[in-house]
Amino acid sequence: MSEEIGSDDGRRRQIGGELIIPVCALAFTIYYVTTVIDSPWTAQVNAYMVGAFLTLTVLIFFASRIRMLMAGKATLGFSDLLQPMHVLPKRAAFIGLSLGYVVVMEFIGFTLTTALFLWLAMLLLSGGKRKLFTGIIAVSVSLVGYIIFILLFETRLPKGIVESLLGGLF
Amino acid sequence: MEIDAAFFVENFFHILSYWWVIVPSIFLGLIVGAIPGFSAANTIIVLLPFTFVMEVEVGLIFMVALYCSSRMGAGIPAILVNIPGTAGAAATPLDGYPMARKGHGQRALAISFVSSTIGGILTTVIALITMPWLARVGFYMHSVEMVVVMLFGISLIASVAAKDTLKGLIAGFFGLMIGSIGADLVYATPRGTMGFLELYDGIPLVPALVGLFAVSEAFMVIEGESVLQKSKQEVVGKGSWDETLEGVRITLRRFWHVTWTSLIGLVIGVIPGAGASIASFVAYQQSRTFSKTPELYGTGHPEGLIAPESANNGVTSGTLIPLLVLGIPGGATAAIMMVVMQYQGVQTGPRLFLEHPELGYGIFMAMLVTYLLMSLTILPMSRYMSRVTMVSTTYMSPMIIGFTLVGAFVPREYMFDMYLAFGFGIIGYIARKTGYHVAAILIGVILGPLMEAYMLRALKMSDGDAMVLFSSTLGNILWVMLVATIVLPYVLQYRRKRQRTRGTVFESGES
Repeated sequence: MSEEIGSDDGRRRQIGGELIIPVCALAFTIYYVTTVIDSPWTAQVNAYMVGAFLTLTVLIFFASRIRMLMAGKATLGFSDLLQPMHVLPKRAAFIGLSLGYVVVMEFIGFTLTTALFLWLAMLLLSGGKRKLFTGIIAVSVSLVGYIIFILLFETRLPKGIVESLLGGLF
Repeated sequence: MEIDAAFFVENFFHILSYWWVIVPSIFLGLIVGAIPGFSAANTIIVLLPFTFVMEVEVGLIFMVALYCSSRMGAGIPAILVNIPGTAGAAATPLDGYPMARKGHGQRALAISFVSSTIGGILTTVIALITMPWLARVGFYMHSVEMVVVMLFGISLIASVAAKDTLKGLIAGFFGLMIGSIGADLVYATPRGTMGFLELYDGIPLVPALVGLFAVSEAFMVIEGESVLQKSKQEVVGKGSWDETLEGVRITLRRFWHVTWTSLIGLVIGVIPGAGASIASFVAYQQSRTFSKTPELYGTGHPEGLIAPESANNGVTSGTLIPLLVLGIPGGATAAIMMVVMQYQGVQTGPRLFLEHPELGYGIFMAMLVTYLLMSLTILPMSRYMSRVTMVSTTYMSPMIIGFTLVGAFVPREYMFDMYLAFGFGIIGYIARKTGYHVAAILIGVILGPLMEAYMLRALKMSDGDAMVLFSSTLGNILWVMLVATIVLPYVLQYRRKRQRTRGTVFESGES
């Protein structure tokens, strides 16, 4: 797990991943400016000031990367972003599960979704080992979550069948 | 009633007799501080009915203890798993987490606890002595001066970006752009909201914090067995009290550093509207500027951990000064305290110290006692808390996602905020993998809207004349200090280089 990237250890540096943030930043700035173009100056001042600096910095960054590409020191590959490759499928599945956690919670409630998510995610990351143990942890943690978030702090987290059943008990 | 040394001693022991309120409040505060999305303010709101039925003194002691301990609690996950519990602890992981990853989580916690305690106690004592003068700071800090204070915080982006300036600046400006999302402050024109009504009030801080730090961390750490570097797992496994003692020694040796960074927190805390996040960023930035080893910041440098932790605890006493002396709450928790006091028929402001001196001074004394009791109760726990870094990522990552996404939901109770946290998590993950600093993005998101608000206020007062930013004496002094802060590291670096070159020439000449 490294935050250092792009070392030139004899290979050509892959800079595709490095371009994502500046491209997103530039695209967002352009979009932002379109939303304030007809607004009073008070709404525009920040966009123009910060946006101008951001655009300038991104353009300088692009110029430096184009120079690297033209000099043959870099390619547009994405390996920096995706490495280590053996973790990639697991990571992609984990990210998908995390998104699924939020989506499904709205339909079946906080406690059940949390238990299911924790169990599936732990199984995924452990390679399917210790099913019972991970199951017990998942259920215990989600019940603790229920007690803290719903019972004690009375947050309006999505409720489902488990909350209805437990609500009858407490 | 005469206010002399005997009064303070008596008051101290009187407050100490409420240890049975303070100790449980400390543990509650540590827990709510450590969970992103929760804070002392919303916990007190939840428990408000209890504070109404308590005696006013007990209620205030409970709130003060909870407030102080939640500030310290926010630093624990920031150090151990790179997840700041609140925005006030956002600068803590910059050096705390690298230290934990090297196997020194226990030492980092000890440093954090001791610097928080010393910072808290020092600023409380200073606040007690200088209250009438400090309370006036708020009067002198207008929008023009606040613009410069914000710039002190924002200039940290440049420090964070030291390794790769371009990427750091892009991350920082991107954060500032994201921070500009929301309705315009004057005409309420929606800007950059992508049609989401939930963004009209701007980007909510907790989902941004949770996403950029926690969610992206969960995606990152699954590459290893635990958050620890492989070679360090055995070191933490053995564990001994030496690491805690070393942390205490390191902090005590830097007593002066703790003192002046906590004073930054105290002064910023006094300014209504400013908060712990600004204080900790400014303190970190100043600490790095005047350090003899600025190149070590970001790698697990003790001073980089001491600065934000001392400062954000200095804020706690600062926030209460305008409330107690002037009757103006300096932050959310102070505002809730005011509600409780008014409900109980106690008026804040100058009369508080005339009519109820035991209560006015007692609040600061409660802070003092809380910090003392906190150091006794929490410091021994650092050895066991640091074991969190050994928990397998198989269990750690799903729990981070589960609890922090819910934490993102809590402040506003919108499902949208969970999606937002997830979105920030993806941005944070891409940023980390490709060498952009998530802290730089977060600084922009936190300070951007504040900066815009002060800037607009200043410009509106002058009908759009930008020269208003240089129209006040205090503001101009701050501008000079800001420029000096930015330029000084380069000057010092140049001088050190020259000295080193001279030394090398001298040595080679001698040989």
